[in-house]
Amino acid sequence: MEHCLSPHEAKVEQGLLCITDDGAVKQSRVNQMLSHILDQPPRVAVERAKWFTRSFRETEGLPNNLRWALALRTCAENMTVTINTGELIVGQIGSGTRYALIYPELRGGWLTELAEAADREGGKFLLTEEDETCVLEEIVPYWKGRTWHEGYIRQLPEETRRVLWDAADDYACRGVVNALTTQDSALVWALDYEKVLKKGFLAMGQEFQSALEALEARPIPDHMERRAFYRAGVITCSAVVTWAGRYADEAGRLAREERDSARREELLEIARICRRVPAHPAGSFHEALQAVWFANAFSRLEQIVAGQMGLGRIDQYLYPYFKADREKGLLDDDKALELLECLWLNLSRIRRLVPTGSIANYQGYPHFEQACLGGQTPDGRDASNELSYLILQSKKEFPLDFPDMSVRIHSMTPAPFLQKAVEVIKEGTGFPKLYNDEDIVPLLIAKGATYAEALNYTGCGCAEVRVINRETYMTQGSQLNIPSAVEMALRDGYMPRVGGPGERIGLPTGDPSSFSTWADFWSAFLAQLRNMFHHAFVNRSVGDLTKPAFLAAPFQSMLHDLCLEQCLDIHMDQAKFRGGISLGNLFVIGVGTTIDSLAAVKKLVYEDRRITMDELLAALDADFQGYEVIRQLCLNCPKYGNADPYADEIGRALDLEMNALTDAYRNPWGGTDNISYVPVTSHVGLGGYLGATPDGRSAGKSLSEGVSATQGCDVNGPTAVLTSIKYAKNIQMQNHEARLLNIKFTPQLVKGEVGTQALESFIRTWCDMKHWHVQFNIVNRETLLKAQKDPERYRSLLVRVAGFSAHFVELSPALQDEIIARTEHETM
Amino acid sequence: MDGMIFNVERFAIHDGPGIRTVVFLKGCPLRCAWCSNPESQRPERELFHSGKKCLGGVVCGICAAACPNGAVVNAAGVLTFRRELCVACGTCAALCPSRALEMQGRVRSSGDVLQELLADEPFYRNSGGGVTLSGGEPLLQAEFAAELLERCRALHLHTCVETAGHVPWHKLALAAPHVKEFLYDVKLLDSARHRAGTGVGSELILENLKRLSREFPHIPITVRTPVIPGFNDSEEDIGAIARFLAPLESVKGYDLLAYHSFGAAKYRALGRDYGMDETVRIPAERLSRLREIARLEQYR
Repeated sequence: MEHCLSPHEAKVEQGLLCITDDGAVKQSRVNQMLSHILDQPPRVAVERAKWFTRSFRETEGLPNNLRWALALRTCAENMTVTINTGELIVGQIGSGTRYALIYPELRGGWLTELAEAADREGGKFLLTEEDETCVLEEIVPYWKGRTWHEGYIRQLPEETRRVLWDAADDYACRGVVNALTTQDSALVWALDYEKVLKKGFLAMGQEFQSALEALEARPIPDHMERRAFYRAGVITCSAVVTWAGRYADEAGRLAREERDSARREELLEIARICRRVPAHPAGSFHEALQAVWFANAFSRLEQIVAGQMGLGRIDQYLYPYFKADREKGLLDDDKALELLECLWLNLSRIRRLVPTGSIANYQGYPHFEQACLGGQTPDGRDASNELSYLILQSKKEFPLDFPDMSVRIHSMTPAPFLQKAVEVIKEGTGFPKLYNDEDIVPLLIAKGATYAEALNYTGCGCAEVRVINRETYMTQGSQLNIPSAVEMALRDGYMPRVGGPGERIGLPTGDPSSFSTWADFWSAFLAQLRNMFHHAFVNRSVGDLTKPAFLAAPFQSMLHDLCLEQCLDIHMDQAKFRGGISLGNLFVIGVGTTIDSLAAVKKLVYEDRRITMDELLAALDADFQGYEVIRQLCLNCPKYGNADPYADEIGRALDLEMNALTDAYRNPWGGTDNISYVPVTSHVGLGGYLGATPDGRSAGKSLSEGVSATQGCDVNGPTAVLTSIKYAKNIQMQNHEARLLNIKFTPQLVKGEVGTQALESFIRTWCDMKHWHVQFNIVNRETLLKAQKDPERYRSLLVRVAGFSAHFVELSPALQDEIIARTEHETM
Repeated sequence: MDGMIFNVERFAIHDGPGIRTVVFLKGCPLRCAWCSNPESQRPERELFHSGKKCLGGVVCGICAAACPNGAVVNAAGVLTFRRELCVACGTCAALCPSRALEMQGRVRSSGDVLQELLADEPFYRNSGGGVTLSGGEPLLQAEFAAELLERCRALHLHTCVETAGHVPWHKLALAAPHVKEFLYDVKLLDSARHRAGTGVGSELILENLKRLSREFPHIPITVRTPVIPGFNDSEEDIGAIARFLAPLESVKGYDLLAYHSFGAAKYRALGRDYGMDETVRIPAERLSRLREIARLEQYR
């Protein structure tokens, strides 16, 4: 069969980045800006941290929401204002072509390691000497003893502290239960942009002002706790308007200096727009995009949410402006695309520097400002519109990994829209990933959303969803290294690669050689698993209980219906919220590895009795060196992902147990928890903590990803993968959410009209089967191998990794190998 | 009823319409040199040995120790297969840790196969796909094939049969009522050269095709020709087939499939020689030209 490149691969081969459908190179401003951005490594941006610190020094003793509002005002008034060459959507929150902000209120103590961290493999950052001095001499000293992480560590019960965190390093997890809790202020989120666009911050600020005056004028001064909320609202609204105003000034200044008349006009228009939005309601598509970006960027000054602030249902809230401008003849497709792509460029400038010793969990500067398309309207009609198609088209022409893009599929998704999505999927950039309304909407209703709210969910983060005006639960959970429960069951609670000599990480479940039946082994496994969940829940509760003392988010809160109604900051007063729902989650990592390992133990040791437990342990101890026969037996046991009931039954029992555990737990506010099959890249990092496993995996190697089969093990093709996953999922339970599924296709398989049709019907069936999520990686092995050898030439090659696309060459060799190892469903 | 099956492939999209599951039945009257499924040819179970997967006699050698007939010899770590002694009992394959040894061919009941086919029913439904029986020559096991097809139809599954057509008419007629579409191989008209390349003449194949078209006119037939270098890749041969097909009304399509050597490794695994040059390919331009000829001739 002839070698077949995906269209995206073909573009990369030609060394071009932005090509239209008819093959023309787009000589637009966007293309030029893009190559500048990719030319330099990202920089650590300290300005936000610096101004926050200075403000916080002055506001000791005030309520947190007020302190946050004042710090935002300090940022808005003092941060450098930069408008880059050619830019149409302005608003930069750090210096450099790409930059990562730091948030000392979370893990300020860790920042002493910043210089070292900026230089680590898998995500390098520039750190200037001046900035480093500022961090070490101004920022770190202030925050010492005042960060959330320190408060959290202080309150963690001793045993949980021991199991989760390195004894000598408060910022390094031990790889069993990786606590993400204080790494970000909140889990993945998206703002209610519609409020920004329809109301504007001037009107919002005036409402807070009136409410404040009314409150203060009350003869009996009850509800004084609301005063801080209103004041924070007034200050924050005026801060964001001030910040935009400084951009208007700067655009005006640049316009006066500009010699090129076309650019001068643009700058004057930018100045006009920045005076108008986000202070006032948006009046055009360009204004709307600018307002969205100002809100999004401003929220990043306020706090870091996991994956960074999402774009939500962008084709819905922008559509009225798009439509009106089109009808007035003010906007054509090219102009709309250019504006959208200017927004995408702004997203791509911002990177993520993860404050932890465990960088392997987050490679390739991941962040996921998901733009969610399609789906249904709150009244249940198909929501796709011309803008949805155009945004998909932009993703096709513009092979940049931002924004992360998803399409919501439902049973009535129109064929042309599905076809358009498939056309873009076939490009091989990994976009868009798909969400399934038929699974998600009922589940959200079961969790307490109204039907209309559930229909209006947005994709967010990797494979998560948000019901943005209804959810109030914010605390990040942890990543549970599920196969470590197998290891601990095999070793009476010990882990060869974790803990010093004689340190038991899990529970004493007995010498496995003394187990006489599979049921004994399964019980030991469950005991270890439950113990891990116990510590994960303790971690989560301590996070919940400590957070209000350390964090607030007045900007996000004033865009949230429930916060507004109840005058509560979304971080500060969780216990008091009425009507909120929780989609908080624990990430379960390496589930495929776990299922396959359990299946191998069951079959080889207890059923077929091909080997004894001692032989298995000896082989695992030796990392299979000298035990090739045993390794092969392990590798050839039934594997999850092949529609083999032997493995899938174990998967189902495991899923049920994890659901039941989360169902039994209550967080301090009475909310429940969910398991979530989203690894980001932690399946690679967490694999490093495990010795060889009974599925035949060598010590230290990557774990399986999301809800997917173990890499290379799904040999029965993609329909068997869906069948297995469906079987292993307990749809009757409701304590689960995001199930990330990665399916990799070679370009041959989806070639031509036949391939398109097959992919479309594959997706329709995936929808019927009520799977949660799927993303397709259409690329071939040769290309990946070539890219490993010649990263320069392949720097724009995108690859899907667990819910986001990265530049392949920015990933570490281990992760590259892992991607290459994934089964290619190549039919001949 | 039981049949001899050597493989079941899911998510096949080039063997009839939509997403399909292909059931490969073992046994074929033809012996095409280019056959990419040599394990499909003989009707009985066979032992497959993949040298690439084999751990060898030093580390492993489990097969040699287990063989009741001495068909595997482990001489100082070197494994030798004495195929003349092998009775295909499957003892070694069942124990082989790396699946280097596998039995090709398994007796399965139609109910058992049907169960596997039904797993992908939602994919068939959405894609207009279904089940395809292939081989080998699936109609050699006509009674089994007919039963399986009938049971598929009773469950509203779309059915295709891929046949080389070299079977007695009554076998074809037995299955045909349960077939929604035939994929029918015609390799060459010239009988002598056909025999030289496949071991059988072309008469029965061509006669069956005409009769199928006549007696079951409602069943659409897609005729396919594997284009083999040096055998039938001339414009004359392809043109002649196309002309032959032109008057057959139920022939809805004529596809040319390019030769490939994906099957070469399987010959080694069966301890046989691959009779073709592994490196030879039909150039894409040549294939396009032949397709053009076929199109012109068929509609002349």
